[in-house]
Amino acid sequence: MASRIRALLSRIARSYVLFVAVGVVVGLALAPVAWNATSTEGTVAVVPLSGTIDGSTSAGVSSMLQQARNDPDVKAVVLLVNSGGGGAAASEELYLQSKRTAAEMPLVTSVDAAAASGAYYTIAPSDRIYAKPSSTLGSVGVLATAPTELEPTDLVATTGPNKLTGGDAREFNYILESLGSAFIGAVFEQRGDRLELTRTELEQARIYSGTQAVRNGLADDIGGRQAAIEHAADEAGLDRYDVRMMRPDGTARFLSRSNYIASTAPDKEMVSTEYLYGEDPSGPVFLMVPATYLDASNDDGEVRAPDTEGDGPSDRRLPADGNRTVAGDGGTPEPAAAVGGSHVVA
Amino acid sequence: MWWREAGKRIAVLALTVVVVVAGAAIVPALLSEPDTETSLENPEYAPAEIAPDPLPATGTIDADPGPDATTNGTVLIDRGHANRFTRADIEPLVDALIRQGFDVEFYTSGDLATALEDVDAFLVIDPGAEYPAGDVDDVRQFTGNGGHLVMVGEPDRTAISSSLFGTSIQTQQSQLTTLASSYGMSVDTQYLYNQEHADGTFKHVVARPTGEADLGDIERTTMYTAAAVTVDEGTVLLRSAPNTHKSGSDEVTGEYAVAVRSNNAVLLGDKTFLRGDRFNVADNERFVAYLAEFVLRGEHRPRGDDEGKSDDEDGPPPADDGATTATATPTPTPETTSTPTPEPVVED
Repeated sequence: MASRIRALLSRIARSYVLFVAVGVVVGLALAPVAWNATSTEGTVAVVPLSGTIDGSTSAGVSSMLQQARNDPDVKAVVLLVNSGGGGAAASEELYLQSKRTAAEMPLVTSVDAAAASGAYYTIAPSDRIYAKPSSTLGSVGVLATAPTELEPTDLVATTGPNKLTGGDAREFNYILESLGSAFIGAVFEQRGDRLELTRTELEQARIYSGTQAVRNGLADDIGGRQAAIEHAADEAGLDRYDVRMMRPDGTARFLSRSNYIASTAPDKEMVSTEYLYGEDPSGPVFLMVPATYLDASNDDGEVRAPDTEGDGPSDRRLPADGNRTVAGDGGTPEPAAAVGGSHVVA
Repeated sequence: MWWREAGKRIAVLALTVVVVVAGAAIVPALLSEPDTETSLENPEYAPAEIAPDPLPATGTIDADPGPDATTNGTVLIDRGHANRFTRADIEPLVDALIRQGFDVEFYTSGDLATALEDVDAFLVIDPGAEYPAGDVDDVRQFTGNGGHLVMVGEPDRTAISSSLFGTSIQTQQSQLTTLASSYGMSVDTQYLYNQEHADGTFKHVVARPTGEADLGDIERTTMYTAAAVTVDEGTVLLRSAPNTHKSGSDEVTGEYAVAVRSNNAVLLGDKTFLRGDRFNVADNERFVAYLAEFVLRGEHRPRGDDEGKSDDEDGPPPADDGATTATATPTPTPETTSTPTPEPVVED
């Protein structure tokens, strides 16, 4: 019996059957890789930009755009935008990032509810901007709290007359004006030939609906996310393509406020200026948001919840209710309300 | 010789390490593609394009009222109609007047006619209460007798005040209607703005002389949140630059008067340009000098003091001052005297 089995095994080992079987198994294992390699011509990366643009949001979106540029599979990028803007410096960083991305591959934007102020700055370099009829776009400009008129005293001594305030109110207006000029210059550089607005009309900082924006050239077409993806693929010459939703850092650190804001979570809080720049800024704060995005009541120290859960510098909290201008559904994680102020302080 | 054998092995090990490390360092460099990220050109951020040049703020007020001007007169500044101004708002003008030998007094309450009796010019800045008819008549009589009147208005302002009971927002208005209208003048309620010709920001409009009056070598002045002013029959001294808007009507542009004169009265649409930190921006100091000269030329001769009734161009020509409805007759009209004096009220 044993000799028969041994003879059978010996015959199998000498035959080709075994090798064919092993070949089939290995081939099947590798087939999906080969299928993927040949079934699509590239990937359209979808980069979300949601909520207030601050230093953390800017870092997250910049990182996603950088990943997309460095990935050889990614042939086009779609920016999925729902933001009313944010800090000036953070918005400028995003503008430079999207401009760089647009220089390397098709960049198409789909505006969800809003792309106002700093968020519009970010999407200005797009090859094409899709908006919905109810989207809001525009509000091109900068706002800031002027320096308080202070003079060095016996209590606060400085080495120079403007060390305390940074300069007088009149000079401050020139600084603000130059920030606005950079913003408007960037919009005209990117969309000048498509805009039906003059510089002074754009400088009025109005908000336009999606349909108005298409008429005045701030947007190109009415459409949603799918239209943007299809157009991006078309621009990249892709007939068959994958769509990849990008996530900041590719991790699930959703517990942090920055990732919450950078995420596509459906409901966002309206925030106070303090939320953006932190408490007691040491200098002027330049914001690129429509004024309606600032909730004045949040600035009132009395309505702030007591710091029972606070720990360290991250203990500022938004009021738990009553100050929302966008209704939450109860399931939305409340932002941890921690903000490093310095990144929006120019 | 076991150590020789061991030495060989160690040498081989070391060589291997060197080869591997060298390979790790060189191979990526050989395999890597040339850097595809080109540096960005950002012409839209060219500093020369986006950083505006501030208007120069130099010069001093050099009033030259001429030899026939009053040099030992008095100017009365209104404080009796809830006027809103600070020392800093008027200091450069006061300084120029005092240097020319003028006295400066304030009217706070009492009979305005009495207060105006011994002064040569009257300065009314941003009153918070309308002039009662009796006061209007007193001022009319004052200017009819050679006194000079400077009225300074402001557009409607929103004032935020906080107290123990919370924050309140009030609209402040310059209550100049009754006084200015008796000279055929008025102040608008909206502020002017200009996005092309401005000192730093859109609300700080640039204004230029019209050529209708001799304002010397003024090229441009600045007004810091000004109201448009109008005059029925008189002279427009300064007009805003082209493409000026009124707040609330973004589509409409024009050139709006911000300083007007009618005989012995001048009306301005902004007080802030007189301030200590604004008076010398652009050619403001020359316009402030013009105002100082206007004040210094005031020569009030109360009734009965007829000697030397002047041929002064600014003098009160009772016959030809009929451009306005209320002529500068010393006798007040009956219906105006019967009007009760309203309490000064800041409307909200």
